[in-house]
Amino acid sequence: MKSEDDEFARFFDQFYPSLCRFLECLLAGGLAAAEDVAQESFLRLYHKGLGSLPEGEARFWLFRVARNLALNELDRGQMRRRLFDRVAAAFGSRAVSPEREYEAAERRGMILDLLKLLPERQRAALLLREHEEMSYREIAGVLGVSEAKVKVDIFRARGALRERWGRAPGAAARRAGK
Amino acid sequence: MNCDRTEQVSLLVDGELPRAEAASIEAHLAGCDDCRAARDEFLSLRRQFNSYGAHPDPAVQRRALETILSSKPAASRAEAAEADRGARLLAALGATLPRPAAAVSFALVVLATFVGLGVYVNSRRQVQTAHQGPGAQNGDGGARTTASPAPTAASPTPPGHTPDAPAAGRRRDGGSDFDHPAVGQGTTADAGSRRRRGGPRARHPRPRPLIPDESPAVASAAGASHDANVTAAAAPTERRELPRAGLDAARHVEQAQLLLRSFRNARATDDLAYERARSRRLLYRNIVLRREAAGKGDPVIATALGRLEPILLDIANLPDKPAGRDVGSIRERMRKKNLMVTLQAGINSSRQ
Repeated sequence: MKSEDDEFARFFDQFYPSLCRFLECLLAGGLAAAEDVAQESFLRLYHKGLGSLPEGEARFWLFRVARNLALNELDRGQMRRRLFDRVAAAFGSRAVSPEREYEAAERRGMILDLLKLLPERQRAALLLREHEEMSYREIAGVLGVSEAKVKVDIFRARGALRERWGRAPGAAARRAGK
Repeated sequence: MNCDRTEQVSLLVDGELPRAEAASIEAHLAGCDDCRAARDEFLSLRRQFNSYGAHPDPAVQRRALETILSSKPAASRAEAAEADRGARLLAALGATLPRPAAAVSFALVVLATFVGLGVYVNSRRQVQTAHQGPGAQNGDGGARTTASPAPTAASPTPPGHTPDAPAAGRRRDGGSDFDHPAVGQGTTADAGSRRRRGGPRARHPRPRPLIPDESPAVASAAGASHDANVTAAAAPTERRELPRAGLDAARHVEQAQLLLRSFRNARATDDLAYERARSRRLLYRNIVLRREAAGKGDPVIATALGRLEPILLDIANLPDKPAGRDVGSIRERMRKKNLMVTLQAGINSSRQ
């Protein structure tokens, strides 16, 4: 039997990448913040004890804690934006050619931009479904809501993204490429 | 989405429909253009999501794990390791013994538990005795006629310290009340009067639970006032001829470190106007340097500056008379982000 630290390290290596991805999308592209929140979430799990949770529950516990911490970060981000917008305006954005800008918007950028438009709970529900492949029951447990709420949130999130995705550049090409 | 069954299509692509309902909606899809289009677009969105891979920076991941694993006190890790060793031994015994020997195995478990408890109690008693000093061992808890032995690294408390003494706290300059007079220099009374007079202090290793060790350069400058001498002290003794960009980033991060130290050490009654103004100035430069580092593909510096930026923002954003809670929240995030170590890594990287 391996030590507790070995077990934790294995668990960490298994779920750190996906947790960072979830948080980065939830925080709409704040990678540094996502890494901080991910570390804090794992730290809390470490001190709680991986073995203290029923088998298979640790992952959901982790995502639940991470999401709650991310909500705090989102609240702080709204305060930060007041000053940051002024600073960013003073500097202006870097000149990027339209073609490069479109390439940059592909994949990660496009997803993040669209996710930003969703309310946080819809965003969280959809990410847990699409990235983490959790069931509605599991998502409900992580988010602390009913399964019925999860169903509605995911459906509405898809509807909103579908509408905006259809208006985004390259929509026809994406549909054709499928 | 005009058809009222589109929501069921969403459930279908997630596999959340019972079999009968799934069959029903699939039959419906054959004759409904709206629902077919919805299904195709939901699946297209899913493909886009799936293309968003999970590829964190391996160095960041490794550092995060190291920070977490080093956050538990050594005593706890030793206890856990001891328990694991006992459990492994029992498991090995259980695997080799035939079933009828289960009772013997159970007895061994009970015995091992008592042995482990004994070890634990003994180790705690030793730590407590060392904290209390020889006075506690002698039962007098007070003045002694002989000099006390030097404390170990695990028990850096002053001689004659008793459990009833007020809990030591952190000083404003980041030190703690564990920075006590050197032991072995006299009796309890002498040590006490030296502390009252503020006499010579010998630095002893102090416990820092849950706070990762800062790099030597940062730790050596901790608590110093923010002036030019500190800048020189924090800088390495050797400086190679570096490209200007590397020097700019290194200098910027050093100034940020000074600011953060000043912010961290400020008292509740201090005016933070200087820190707020300084933070605002550093923020502009941070944005430029971060973008440059990102553009050059320098992840260490970009990461360090990326972690620094929200803290600079928050400090700059503080109101004229910030609440203690807001200041404390920023300090806590600085600590959890392991910010000083990250910034030092950025300095080291920019000098390579």
